[in-house]
Amino acid sequence: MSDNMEELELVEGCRRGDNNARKLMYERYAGKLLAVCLRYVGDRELAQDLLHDIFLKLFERFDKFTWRGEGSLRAWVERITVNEVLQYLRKNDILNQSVSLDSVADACEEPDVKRIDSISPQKLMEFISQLPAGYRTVFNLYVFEEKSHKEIAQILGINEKSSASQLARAKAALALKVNTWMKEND
Amino acid sequence: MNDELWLKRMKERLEDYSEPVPPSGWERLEKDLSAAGTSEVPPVVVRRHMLPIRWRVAVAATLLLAVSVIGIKLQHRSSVEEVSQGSFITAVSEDDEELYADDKADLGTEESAEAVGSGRISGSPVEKDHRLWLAGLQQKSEDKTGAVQGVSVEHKSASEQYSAASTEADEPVDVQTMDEAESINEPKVRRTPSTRSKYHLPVEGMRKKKDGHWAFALALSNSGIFSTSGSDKGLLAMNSQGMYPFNNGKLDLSAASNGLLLIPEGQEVIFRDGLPYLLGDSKQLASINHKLPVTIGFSVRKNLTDDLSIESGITYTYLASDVTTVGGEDIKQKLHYLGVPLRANWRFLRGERWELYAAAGGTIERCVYGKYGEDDLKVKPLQFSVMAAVGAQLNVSHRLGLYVEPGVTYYFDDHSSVQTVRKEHPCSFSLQGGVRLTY
Repeated sequence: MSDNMEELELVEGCRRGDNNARKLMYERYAGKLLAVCLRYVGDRELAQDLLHDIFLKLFERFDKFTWRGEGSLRAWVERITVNEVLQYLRKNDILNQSVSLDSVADACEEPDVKRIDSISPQKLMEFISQLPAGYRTVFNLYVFEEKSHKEIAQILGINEKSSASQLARAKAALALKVNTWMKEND
Repeated sequence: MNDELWLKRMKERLEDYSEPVPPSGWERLEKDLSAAGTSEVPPVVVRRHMLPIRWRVAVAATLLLAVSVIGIKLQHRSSVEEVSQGSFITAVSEDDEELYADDKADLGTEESAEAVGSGRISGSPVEKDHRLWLAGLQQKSEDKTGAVQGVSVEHKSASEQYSAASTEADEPVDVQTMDEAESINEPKVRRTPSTRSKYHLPVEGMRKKKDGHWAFALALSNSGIFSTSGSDKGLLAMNSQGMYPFNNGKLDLSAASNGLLLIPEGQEVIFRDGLPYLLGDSKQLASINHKLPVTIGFSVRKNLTDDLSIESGITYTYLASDVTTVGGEDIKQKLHYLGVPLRANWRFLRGERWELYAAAGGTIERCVYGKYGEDDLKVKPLQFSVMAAVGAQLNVSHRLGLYVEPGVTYYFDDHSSVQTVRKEHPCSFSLQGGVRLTY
């Protein structure tokens, strides 16, 4: 209960441009948002730059935010982050980069859930970051943003089939990495 | 992602994952923020100059209380006026005073005489009011039938009723309603019957509010008025003989000096004790008992900003009254109104699961169909009203909210001849409650 009151006060503070509120906001969300950026762009420095711009944008847009209950602030913040990241990717034409075809085996044994549990989050992040850019974007949108292929196609300006095949390849690549790692670290 | 459990698990494990942020991250950001000037209070924030939360809660609670109290007080006052302006008003205009100065005591029943005997009822309408008040109180205690008559002194109403009272409920009573009375030198006393009025909690149906855009609402409500009269029947009573004193605005008394009198059609003049009385039209309203008004509405709300929205729609109101005519008949008066409301809502306080808002606006209504017994009744003028309300909504879930909305509505006199509960009690307090869906 008090968390929400606190959150509301935080929101009001940010709206007013209160520096303390903004700092608190940064402290609360910077880490998570950086993780999101990293998932998408793969490069740490780039992710940090993006994070910086994202926060500037967030504070600029605070007056348009309406607090609608628990989790609404986080959802809003994450949505803006993903949008900004996608915009960057689009602008830099990363999404259309062709991928070398030899890098992935299409059919690959899908990892066991238990295996995923045994790998640290940092490692998992690393695996995702290592994916080729195009696959990575589709993978992120599908798995983390839970978009359908239709939606992904709309967002990225590709067709649905392309989205589906890129996801398949991303999965295969990841599965390979996971399995390899498991073998090496068993 | 049905069979892709491992992907789901990946998501779960990374959902709340936080990457370590560079230590200089915030400083860098802070610098840019102040450079960009975004640390200044943007103009839009001006309107959001909010008081700290506790203050706002206090303000909100006060507002809510104030509206409720004002509403209750208004009702109480108007009903007290009613009660007090008891039975027999033999109000006489300044013009006619000389004519009837000596005969005041003869007008009306013996009870009325008692009341009148308390003093000359003369002077300004306000003064009269006081005396009538006293008279009324006196009368009330002696009232055999328990019927309470109400009188309200109207200073500006063009429609006037002139009456003197009798408390004999079983006697036929006559009253003349001078609906289109032009003459205003008549006593500004209007007899209004007290009504059985209850305070009702209306029920409201579904109300939808679209996030940031449109909202739709379905409403059902009764508007309630407090009355301490405790009586079911109001009597527009005259004297025991079923006649009322001559003093009718439609009659030109000055003509009497010629020995000629103009008597309105359908009226009969009889003389008693040397005084002329008019025997009214038997179909005229003698007493009226207003039923609770019922309103059903549908409204659409548009959000202008996060907190401010405007709303309009259409309402249907049914006003029914039981009338006892001069001739002793019981007939029903039924009026159907269609109205267009327009209001603005302002959400001034929000919490985790609740919100408070204020609303103000007005409605224009038109009687589209009316019946007075078997006859059609036409109410030509439009009914204007204004309202103010404060609402509190509890958000039970993300989409569902329950709300209560106490409010005050004031109905402007439509200057028609038709007696409705709104003429009786122009200012009423209402409480709406309902369900609101948000998308």
